[in-house]
Amino acid sequence: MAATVAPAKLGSYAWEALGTSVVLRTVDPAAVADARAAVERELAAIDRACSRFRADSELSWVNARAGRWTQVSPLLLEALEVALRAAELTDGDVDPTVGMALELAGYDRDWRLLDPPHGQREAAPTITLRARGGWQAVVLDRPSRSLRIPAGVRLDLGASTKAWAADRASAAAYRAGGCGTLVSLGGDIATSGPALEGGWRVRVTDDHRSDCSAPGQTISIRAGGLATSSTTVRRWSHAGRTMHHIIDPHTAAPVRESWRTVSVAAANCTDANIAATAAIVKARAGAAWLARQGLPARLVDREGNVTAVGDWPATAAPDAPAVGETRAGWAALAG
Amino acid sequence: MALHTTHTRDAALRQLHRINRWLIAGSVVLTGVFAEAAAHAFPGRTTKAASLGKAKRSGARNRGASGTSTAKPLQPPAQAPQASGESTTTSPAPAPAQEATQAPESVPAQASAPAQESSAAEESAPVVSGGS
Repeated sequence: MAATVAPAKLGSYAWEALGTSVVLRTVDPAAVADARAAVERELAAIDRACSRFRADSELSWVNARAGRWTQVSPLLLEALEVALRAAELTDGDVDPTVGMALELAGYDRDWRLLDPPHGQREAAPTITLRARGGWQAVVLDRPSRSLRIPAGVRLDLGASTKAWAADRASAAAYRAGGCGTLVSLGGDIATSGPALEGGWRVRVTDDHRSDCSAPGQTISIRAGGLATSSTTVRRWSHAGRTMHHIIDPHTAAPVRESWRTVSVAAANCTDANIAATAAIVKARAGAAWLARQGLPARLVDREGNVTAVGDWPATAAPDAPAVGETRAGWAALAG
Repeated sequence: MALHTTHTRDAALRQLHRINRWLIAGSVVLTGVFAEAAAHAFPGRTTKAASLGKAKRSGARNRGASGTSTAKPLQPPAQAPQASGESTTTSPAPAPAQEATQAPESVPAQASAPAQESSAAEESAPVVSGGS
């Protein structure tokens, strides 16, 4: 277990990058400036490599060359491996080849520039596109750092890259600052270094832009990562329908909402994010799947009922679940 | 007469030679076109057999999801999250507003706003993890 320290005051910064909010905390306030500079460098590099919305990004170049072999940078190669690992571990529920489906759903620029929802019905799960081959058709050649995606397929690394970026940024901040750090990218949280005494306090809720009074639960983590996926935030209007950003690769349409918000703790933010997103796509089966992975998780359904999985702390008294809370036992779910 | 016959024969042979060269060139081009068409008709395969073989040897991730997975499994945290001392909102949480609140201004997609140092109150406040 990592050592803990009890600082008199934390270092803290908040700003915007990668189209979302960044929060940096350092155990040593004197280290926060160096840590922030390291985080900014890391995020800028990831943005240049992995952004789907930048015409000059490497990912845009790869997508434009679909059907042909393309050499990529070590950074993009790592992001691609993270995305393909996510697909493999989730039986394709988190699939990087849904880029075209997202574009057809209207998500072709930063979501804050899209039309807000107008109260229309949610998108019906009609098939708009079936990516040929899906993630299994993506071929990586690691020694030559080359990639080939099928013609007509566009990659979107958004599902896993934000959390992976949080992990990398947190590690970079730790190296630069030399003290325990926490980095949150749009609510995906990664920690590095010696933990804060009592752990890092985190409020899990539907929207990462909320304040700490928003409905949810406050917990503490001492190491690793925590990620929350939700269908309630990144929503927009397209073709008379309300869309959201979590695509079901099996229908190529926004997933039908069973869980509106899923929070998962894991050894790192990347794994937490993969699991949280997969649980939303897997719908009702998501809770049992999380339990089989041995991951503590908190799932909130459309009506606001909470299901805790594994070692996730109880919302109220641990032995007396509050009304509306379900304690999903490991053994029961794993079966 | 004999000379005429020889000239006619030579001319015919030269023409036949030109036709043969065109046929060979055309065959090469058509082979390439058909190969490219076949590559597009069957995505996931490649005409670069050597590259694909090398990719497979190097662990390219084109395996079946239910096949023999070598991906490192998802790792649980070293220590499970703990309940914080702070009082929490009891469940069930109210359903969220159906309309997501948009950012007040259209923010350039990748622009980074200036960093702001947080106040002491913000430092002690929990970090929020939610959908984004």
